[in-house]
Amino acid sequence: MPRRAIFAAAATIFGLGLLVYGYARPGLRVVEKKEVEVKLPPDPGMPEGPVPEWMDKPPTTQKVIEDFAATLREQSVISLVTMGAITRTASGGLLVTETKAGSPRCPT
Amino acid sequence: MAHQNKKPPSKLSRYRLGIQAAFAFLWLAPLRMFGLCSPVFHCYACPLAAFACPVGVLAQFSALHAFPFIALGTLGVTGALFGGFVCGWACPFGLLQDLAAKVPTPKFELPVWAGYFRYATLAGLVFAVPWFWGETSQLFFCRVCPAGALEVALPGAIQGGLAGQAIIWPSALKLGVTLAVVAAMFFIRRPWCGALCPLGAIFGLFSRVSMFTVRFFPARCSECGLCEKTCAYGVDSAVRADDPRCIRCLECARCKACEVAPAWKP
Repeated sequence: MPRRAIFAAAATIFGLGLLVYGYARPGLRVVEKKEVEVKLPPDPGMPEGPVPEWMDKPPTTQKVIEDFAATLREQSVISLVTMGAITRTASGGLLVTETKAGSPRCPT
Repeated sequence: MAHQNKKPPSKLSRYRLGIQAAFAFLWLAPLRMFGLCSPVFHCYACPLAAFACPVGVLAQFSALHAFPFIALGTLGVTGALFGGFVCGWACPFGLLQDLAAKVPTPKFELPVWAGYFRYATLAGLVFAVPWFWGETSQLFFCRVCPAGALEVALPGAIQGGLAGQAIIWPSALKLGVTLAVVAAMFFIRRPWCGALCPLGAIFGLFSRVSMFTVRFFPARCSECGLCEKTCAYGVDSAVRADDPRCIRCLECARCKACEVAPAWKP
């Protein structure tokens, strides 16, 4: 069998190995789209409802959201929380319903 | 003798546009296959996108200092099996450029050295900038990506404007890159793929080892030059059929000396 075929087969098996391990392991896979709610202490500076323009919020609110993003990243749930439409829920949590587009922070 | 060496285009080649459109539908159909990575260049922020963009995933993971197992696995498998076929047959951004190239305007060729910019884009904007400066950097790949601008940012700005909301324009750099690429599409065949696409750089690296490729059989060659004349990307199949710039459009396969062949075929 030509060397090229052997190399291509080896690269394919290696790629498959990465794929299988990537899906089998816990943690971040790709930039995922999930609904996640994390309970955080109530923040008086942040009203209930959608928080799409979080960059323009007061520093305290921004800190809460950055902590929220860091929490999700630590849990390896999603990476692009800052791209999402974030909602402040009545129970004092932050809800990410859309992790792709819809926010001024979206790099697109 | 040249005419004797000419054969009609392969059946597959005739349906390339249709196959590209079918793949575009697959990548952008609302299948909601979240958690999967496609091997093609498109923006995951597009509301229709069902699969993640591998370049976006690589950049994001670089910013997070995490290893992108799934993106690299996807690219490894598709690259090792098909190499540049992915660019020529499955990429929606390639389809857009192919459609623009059908407009009857004067066409210019990119110089061969322009292809090296793809590796600079890959190393710089996809890996180095996110790694050292994070995703907030203005040079973070997704912030200058024309696919993101065309699929998301500009439609979003228009939609926002029509709805009476504040229009959020992409950055001047992103707009500039997008306008330049779109304008170039009409005068250069696949300018993005040929000069800047980081995914094309990755598949270019696989071009010499992929399982399926276009191969040149010297014994069948009558030196008619047909393969070189039919190639829109300046690749001379007789010299190097697995050139990293080749998108496997199979136009050169009109000549009997070139054909799609698996690597195990002697």
